[in-house]
Amino acid sequence: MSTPVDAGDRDDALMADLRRIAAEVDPVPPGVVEAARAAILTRHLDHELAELIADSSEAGAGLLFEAVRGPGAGESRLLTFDGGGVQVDVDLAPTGQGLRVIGQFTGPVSECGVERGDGGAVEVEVDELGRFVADGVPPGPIRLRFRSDIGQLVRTAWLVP
Amino acid sequence: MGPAIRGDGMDPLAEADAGDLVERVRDGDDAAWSALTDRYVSLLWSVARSMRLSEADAADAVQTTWLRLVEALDGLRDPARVGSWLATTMRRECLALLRRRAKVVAAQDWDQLAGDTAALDEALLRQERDAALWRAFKGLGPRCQSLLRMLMADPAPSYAEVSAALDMPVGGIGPTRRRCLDNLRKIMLTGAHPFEAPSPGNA
Repeated sequence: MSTPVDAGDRDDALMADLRRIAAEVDPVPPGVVEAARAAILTRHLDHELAELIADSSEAGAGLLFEAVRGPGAGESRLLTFDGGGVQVDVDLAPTGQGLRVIGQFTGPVSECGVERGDGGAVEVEVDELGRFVADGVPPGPIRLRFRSDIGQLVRTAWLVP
Repeated sequence: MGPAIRGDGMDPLAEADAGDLVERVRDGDDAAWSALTDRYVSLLWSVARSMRLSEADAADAVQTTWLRLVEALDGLRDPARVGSWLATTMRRECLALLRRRAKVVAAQDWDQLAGDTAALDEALLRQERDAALWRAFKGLGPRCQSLLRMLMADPAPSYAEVSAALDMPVGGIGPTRRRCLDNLRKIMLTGAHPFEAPSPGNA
């Protein structure tokens, strides 16, 4: 019979085999490593954070509202962020050509953009009622950047469509 | 935390402790960020795969976790424990994605799915023993598969990180690992692969 130490060594050897096999059959894709490196490009020290306060896909998880379905919006998801003195409601709807992001600010804002996880951004126009639409947003995490009426730059927490 | 440990001829950042790397990243050191992502990206990938996320969802969850770290960088209370912070955040991201997927798609037959990928995986493995081992791994119960897949991260995760990732007490990890590896050996010995000898020296 093997001693406990031998059994431990044997377990470690088997675990090492499994680790080697996992690296062959289920490696971290190169794109995931590249995205990780690029994530630091999203670091900015000049803004306030608008936190997620409601998410229709997380009903019952401690956030504000139950799942809400607009008419005909079978798969859309509604989120609300609050920060920098502004609230914004965001509706995410998948389309054939990427994601459609429809937003509504509670107060006046300027310079609104949809930022991606690689540091890139697409500017969007906000109308006089505080509404905006961004079409064809590619997959992956996004966040909104905007400036409140007192000139404060605000970014929302990251959201995964 | 003390200064980075500098090994002879080694990349000093690869040897630096995690807390030190976080401090450097805060100071704008991009090489330290690369070292931090190199160290933990396999851990995050392993969390996602251990929770059976698809490749696309796993990629999204991993990226989101890095983005949340960038966002939280300056407020991080215990930089030395950034590995556990990442594991916890990753677990939450995975759970949120799984919940959303469950609402959109009807529940999938995971066993069926796992069986399909097992066939694909085996084509990649040239060594018959490796193929048999992977087949045996896929034959384990979900709890064992989850823990072992998590432990396959490279470099090997600390038990504190595994505990955070799987929401499991640290004290339970060692005994469960032992039991799961024993089960794996049993499947190897008694499963449908009689030509497979047990590991050398234990016949």
